[in-house]
Amino acid sequence: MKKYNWIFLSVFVSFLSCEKVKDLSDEASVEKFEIVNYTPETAVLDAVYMDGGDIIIPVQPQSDLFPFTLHPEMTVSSTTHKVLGNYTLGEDIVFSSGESVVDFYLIAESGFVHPYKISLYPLETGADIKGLVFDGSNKTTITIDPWEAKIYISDPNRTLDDGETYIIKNASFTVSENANVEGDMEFEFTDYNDVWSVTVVSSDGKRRDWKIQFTELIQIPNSNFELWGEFAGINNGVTTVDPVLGKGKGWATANNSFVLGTLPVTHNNGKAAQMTTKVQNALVFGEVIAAGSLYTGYFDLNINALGDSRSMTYFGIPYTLRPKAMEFDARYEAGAQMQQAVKEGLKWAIKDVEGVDSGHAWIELLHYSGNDKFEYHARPTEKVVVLGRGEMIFDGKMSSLKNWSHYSIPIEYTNEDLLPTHVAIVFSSSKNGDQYLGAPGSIMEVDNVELIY
Amino acid sequence: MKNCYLYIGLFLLFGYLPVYGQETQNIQGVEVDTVEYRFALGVQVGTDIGGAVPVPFKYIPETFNPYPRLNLSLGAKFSFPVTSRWILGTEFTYKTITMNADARVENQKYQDGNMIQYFSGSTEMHMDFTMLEIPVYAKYSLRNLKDRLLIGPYFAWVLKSSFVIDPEKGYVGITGPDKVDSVMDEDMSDMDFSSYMDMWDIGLLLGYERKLTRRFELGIRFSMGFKDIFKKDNQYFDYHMLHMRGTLVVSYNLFDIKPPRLLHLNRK
Repeated sequence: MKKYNWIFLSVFVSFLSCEKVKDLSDEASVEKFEIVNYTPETAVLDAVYMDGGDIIIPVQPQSDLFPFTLHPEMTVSSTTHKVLGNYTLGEDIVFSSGESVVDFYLIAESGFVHPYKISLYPLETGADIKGLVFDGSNKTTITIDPWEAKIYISDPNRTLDDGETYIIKNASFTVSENANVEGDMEFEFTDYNDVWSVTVVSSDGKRRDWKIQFTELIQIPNSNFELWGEFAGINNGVTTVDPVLGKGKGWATANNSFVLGTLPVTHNNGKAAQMTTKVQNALVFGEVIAAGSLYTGYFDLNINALGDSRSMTYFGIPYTLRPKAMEFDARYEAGAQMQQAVKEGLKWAIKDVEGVDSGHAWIELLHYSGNDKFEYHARPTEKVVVLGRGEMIFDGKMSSLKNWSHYSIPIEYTNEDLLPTHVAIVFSSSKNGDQYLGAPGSIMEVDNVELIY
Repeated sequence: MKNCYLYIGLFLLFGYLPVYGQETQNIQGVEVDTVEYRFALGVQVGTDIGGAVPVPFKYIPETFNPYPRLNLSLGAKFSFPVTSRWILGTEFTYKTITMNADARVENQKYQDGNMIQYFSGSTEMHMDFTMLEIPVYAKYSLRNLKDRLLIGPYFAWVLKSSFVIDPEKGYVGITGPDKVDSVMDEDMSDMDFSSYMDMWDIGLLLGYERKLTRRFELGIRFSMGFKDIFKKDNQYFDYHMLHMRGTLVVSYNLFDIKPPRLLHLNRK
């Protein structure tokens, strides 16, 4: 009997010693991040610092900085199970520009995800331009690129077409402490390729040339939707419209591994964007109605946000002008049967409903006054003010919408004081697609979007 | 269909075993013991510990904490002695098997058609099967005629089942394993597989039973299903989920029917 007691005791002890899922740690952190070496070796770096999940590398801009290659030494906490994402422990990091960001994730023992981001921060060179004012500059948009030492100026009321010129008078630069600006304070632009330059001399005699350029009124790149492809880090690598300037800086779709709602079609010997409302199989979560969409911003798939598709669509890209209208070519055709996905217990199921589908196009000029990352899901958001808005509904009952036509949506401004910081433009094959309401087969095609100033 | 023939074959094989034992003994002219009764009816209560288990076992997560819940099963058993050592038996048992479990999974693959996702993280699992289990077994009494070993196939009609996975924290890779394409919130929706569960199971049962008194018997059993708990052609997982459980059962023989006269077959 004594022998059996030992067996029972062993079983009991081994049961107790089993690792419990509830005891697995949620914690995972970067304990140390140091730069061992870098190229070019002439780069001037300051001490790396961390702010939450941000690892910031202060580096002084210089003409031959990029591509900037770093070999870091990173150690993680003992409760870190894995490092995933765009950084692999022990490997080099390459920044192709000052705006480049390296995202990675620390996975805790429990599977809890801790996002991290490595980015560069421009250190003062002592010969920097921090601001520019001139006669009438309050009506213009001035963008300063500290990495490339460039200043871009655009004016929604002025162009350089038809021989027009743009003259900057009485320019006044805000520069680094005790630095001086050498060169003219008046610049005349007759062409968009005209580049003026000034030299900033630091207190210790260091010289840095800054270029000044007058740029065209801004149209969103790829607004004729000729460029499509698969891009790392965007829409999980599936086919989508090319944002050109990078994720969150141009056009986007909500295409994902489950459904490709927006794809290119042939139009006028080129391409247009075709949005289609579809039934999206969401694996064991059931099926939902997914409208095809095309918008400025970016998309981040989140399986647990299936009940709130808008939370996966981040509307808006940086933009600082006040257009009067938005014009575009489009056609719309509603699907045969309106359906809606409703949650039944734990799963989504699709049911027929009354009505005819309609497409939707809208534009909003936004002002964001926050310091955190801009996030807008087309619903009231703290620190986001809608300055102006325009919209158009494509009623599926109207058969005339099936043919291509040119449309113009005027923008009505309700706030004349603030300058826009972002623009959100959205096209959708089902107006209420965010509520999983629409007719599978509804099609909206869009081409040649233009902002009218 | 091929499996169906296999299952029927197993049923017939195990049903035939004791009869074969008797016939062999007769052929060889060995004296056959008399049977005490021709047919007995009993009732039984019991409980099961188990649930659905990934097979091959390598797919059982490294960190896996099962929390079985004990439910009472009720049934009737029928015994048909063939010799004093061999008994053919069958049962009808209504039982509910419940198991909850915590698991830390790594790149758990779910596939539906062409869509695949890999989940890594902590999950809670809830499984519950209410079934009518019908084993057909052959019992062999050991020398003391109190201890018995039993073996036979079982068929189970699953009346109600649920299988829900509740991902607690972690991430999903859609572009492949070890990709963080979507981060889970703690209030993520449950993944309910209940409507994909099959309505029946068939498998093998092994057991030991001891006669405590003339009417009471205590038994322990292990049974393992041969078919996936999901409906045919499911592709959700890389592996099969098979029923596997241990059973503790106490039975009470209500009555038996004696033979008209005792048989005495002696070697001449």
